[in-house]
Amino acid sequence: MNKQDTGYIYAQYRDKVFGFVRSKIVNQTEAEDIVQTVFLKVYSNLDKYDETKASLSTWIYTITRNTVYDYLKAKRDRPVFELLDNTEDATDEAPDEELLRNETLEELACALEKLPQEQRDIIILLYYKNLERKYVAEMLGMTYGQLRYLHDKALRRLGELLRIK
Amino acid sequence: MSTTKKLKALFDYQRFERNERLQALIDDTERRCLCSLSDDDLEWVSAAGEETDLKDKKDGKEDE
Repeated sequence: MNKQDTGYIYAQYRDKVFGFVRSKIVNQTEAEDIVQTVFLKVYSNLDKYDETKASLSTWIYTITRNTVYDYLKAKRDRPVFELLDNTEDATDEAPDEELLRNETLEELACALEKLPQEQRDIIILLYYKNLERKYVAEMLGMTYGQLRYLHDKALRRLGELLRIK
Repeated sequence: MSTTKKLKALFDYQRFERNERLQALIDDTERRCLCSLSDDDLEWVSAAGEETDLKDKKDGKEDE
């Protein structure tokens, strides 16, 4: 099947796009609107997609990510801040597309498996769950200083293990 | 790119790509660490549990 077929794209990526959007946008109606916007952008820019530069998955992810962060940024700028979301990442620079491959996620999983469980928990709670350090320390029954020590240790080890450029 | 930026970017991408091996590690941490959250805490955690800074929400301030 031709990857540029819109039906194929929707069937193949709908769950991924919705999963990402829903993880960032609490309100279901807003999330659904954003998913629609993402697919409209995908379809209307299909002729600009260059498979020599990025995989279709990475290209759609980038559109999804940018759409969500643009939305969060616009919403954050409104007078009444009504999101549960922390929009700190909305100002983050776009990641290198070379990083965005399933193989890299596999590499991260492999690296995390090599960390002691406590350090792995710290990394996941801080960087996936986006919890605040003091709260994570409390949750894991350690002092803030202990958490910082283990966090730094885990980061150094991950830096060695991840050969991502 | 720093390790922290790589981690943020990769965990963000995981929300889209959902690598099974990585997801198993995340699920394990969630199961062990987040099951003890109180109802008050849970109200600050979104369905996917992200982008929500529990302590900051409680204190109404950032801690960076």
